Amino acid sequence: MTLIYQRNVDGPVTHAFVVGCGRYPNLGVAGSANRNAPIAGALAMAELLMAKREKLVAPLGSIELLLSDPASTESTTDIGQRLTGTIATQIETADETHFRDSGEKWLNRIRPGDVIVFYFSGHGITDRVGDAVGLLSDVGTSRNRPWAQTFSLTKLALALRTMSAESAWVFFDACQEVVAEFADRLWDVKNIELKELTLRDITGSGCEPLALAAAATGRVAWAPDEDEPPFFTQILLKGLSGCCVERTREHGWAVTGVTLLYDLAEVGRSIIDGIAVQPQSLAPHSERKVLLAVDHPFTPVTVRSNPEMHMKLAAAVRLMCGSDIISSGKVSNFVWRADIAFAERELTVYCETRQGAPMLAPQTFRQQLPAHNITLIPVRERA
Amino acid sequence: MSSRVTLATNSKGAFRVEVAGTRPDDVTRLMLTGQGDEHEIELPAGPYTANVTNIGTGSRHSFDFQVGETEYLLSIGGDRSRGANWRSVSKKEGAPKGWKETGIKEAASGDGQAPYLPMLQTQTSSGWRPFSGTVMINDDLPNALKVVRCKTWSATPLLRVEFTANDGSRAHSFVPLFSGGTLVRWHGDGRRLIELEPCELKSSAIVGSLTNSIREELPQILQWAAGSDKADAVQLIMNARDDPWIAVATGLLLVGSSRLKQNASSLSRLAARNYWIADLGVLAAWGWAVDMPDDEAGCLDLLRRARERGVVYFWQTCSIADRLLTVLATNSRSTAVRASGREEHGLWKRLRADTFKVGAFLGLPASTRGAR
Repeated sequence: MTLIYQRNVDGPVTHAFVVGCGRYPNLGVAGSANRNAPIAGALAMAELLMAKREKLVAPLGSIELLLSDPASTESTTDIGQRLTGTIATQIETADETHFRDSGEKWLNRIRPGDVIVFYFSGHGITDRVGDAVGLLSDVGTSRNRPWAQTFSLTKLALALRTMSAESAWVFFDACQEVVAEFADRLWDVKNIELKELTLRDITGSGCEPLALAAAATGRVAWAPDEDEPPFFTQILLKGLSGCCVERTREHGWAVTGVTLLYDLAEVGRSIIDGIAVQPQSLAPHSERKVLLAVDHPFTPVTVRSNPEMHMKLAAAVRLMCGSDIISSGKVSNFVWRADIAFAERELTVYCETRQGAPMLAPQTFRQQLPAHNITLIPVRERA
Repeated sequence: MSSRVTLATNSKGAFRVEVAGTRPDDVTRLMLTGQGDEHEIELPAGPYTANVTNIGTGSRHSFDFQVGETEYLLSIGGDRSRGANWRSVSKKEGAPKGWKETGIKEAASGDGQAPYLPMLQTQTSSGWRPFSGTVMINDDLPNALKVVRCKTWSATPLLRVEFTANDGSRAHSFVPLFSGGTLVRWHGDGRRLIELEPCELKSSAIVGSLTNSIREELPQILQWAAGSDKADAVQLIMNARDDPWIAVATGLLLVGSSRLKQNASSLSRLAARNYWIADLGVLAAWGWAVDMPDDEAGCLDLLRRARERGVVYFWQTCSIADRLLTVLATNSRSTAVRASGREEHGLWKRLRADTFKVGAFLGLPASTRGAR
């Protein structure tokens, strides 16, 4: 196991299990299935949890981290100084043995009233009954049990429901591709179960986990080629940082299950270009549970133009509230972006154009959570 | 200085109201259920925004108001009328030939354009035939029709509506024949998305809760629907008005709020009587698991019978069946139950293949085994 953070706190705490799996030696050809993004995603998620450890409604109690880094063939991954404040820097691999081991220790730590967080980034598929399945790094190692090194999200979410936790949060940043070979074998696939369940367990009362997948059943989740988190994780981190929030009487502005469920897609439309990220809920009901409090909510504002080439020719964008400049900056690559502190107010986007370039008409909008997508059009058309 | 603000509903339905002031923690959430329901809150002077969500339809609106020294009464609700101006297509105007044969009414409307109507078919001993029951249209609701069930209905009154799915393919849903009529809606010229909902507003709130409510609200919605939070009262709405589809919606809300235990036996009786509604069979299986968690074979048998004998109406039914089958197929103490559970799980999966959500209901590809 790799316990990178632990502290004893009186009262309920948050226990997190973060898994980033980017190395798949037995999938594809010559490392073609390897990805850097899951490592960046898992580290970014762990970093956010540690940075917000006092803002979580149940302060951070522990983080279990597993990483399978394609850049390393060692038995552990050295994260060095990439995360500050950790009690370990050598992280064990995201394989079957360590997943079982860390998962069991994670579940054993949970006490009634605690908060549970699970994050996985890596390859994923859909099983015969349409459930999301996460693949660990040693999948395919065993000739006779090639799919044993996998876990079912549905079973995991059902298990978390029975832990008497205050709330449970499951984030699955992986594809849900249909792989015929796996589906055909499912009758005999006995993959990882962190907890065995009975009918009594699932029909009893329990918290309904917020379980979000990066893609719908049968669909692909995307990640950038660079050393950055996958797109769903980027959106999730942005939402958790302060734009997927609502007012609560106990915590003021706070990230809740409802805001993550309904607002993440809109955040994605604002901050990701060219790829539509459509998170899918894996649970039937949402709850207004609170994950963390936010002092300063904000809205990502994205400004584009139609035709988009006009924005490329623009010099700068100014965001004004009356006569006050809220934000301004140069346009890069057809788009202008800024995170704007949230307030109930009207904002106007002005675009300064270069000499000879088409003028873009200003646009006024009322600031609203979670995000804004503004498209400016040429002055002549608007008239 | 604070003033008393009274929020009151002016229409039958369930409404979630969020009153937010200027401070981040200055928020009050409450639910108003039923016509005339009132809720008083004390608010300090200042500007406020009220966000109102109709649980039945999911529609939202918001308005600003200012609290000063006097008392206020804020009226909530009433976002659309659906009760008046319905006229029968088939009886008053006479159904044109095209209606019976294709399900598309060609009669001219007021502006001379032929309105689109989706194809309704009912199951007979010789297969699927155009629906010959009462279908009503309303000039105020151009993209909707109202289906009214006969006073005496057949033993298995299966009705389905065909429409175009989002991907352009043909699809269908089974139409519940709610007491008081069922609204079938589609969106504009695209004719792609269909909504099914009860005409009666209380029933609409119960069905709408399956898609528009959050879990904490379910007990209050059930209490309002039943008039009490006692198990007897909940049983009453499940058995009332000979409306098994409202019984299903109520049962699904009970599962969602972990309160099915007291009503499990009532659901079993309903499932036996209305075997052609698979949803009731699945709810009975869940009730069985609650009452007799050690009898895994009995639970599995109820799921199998539900699939074999009935059709699935509600989207949530599949996820309930899925949960039960996940446990039975992988964690049963009996090898035989595990094997049968895996097989049953696969058959349910096949039944769910390519299905999609139509509001609270299930949309199926047109090719899905005709009726079932």
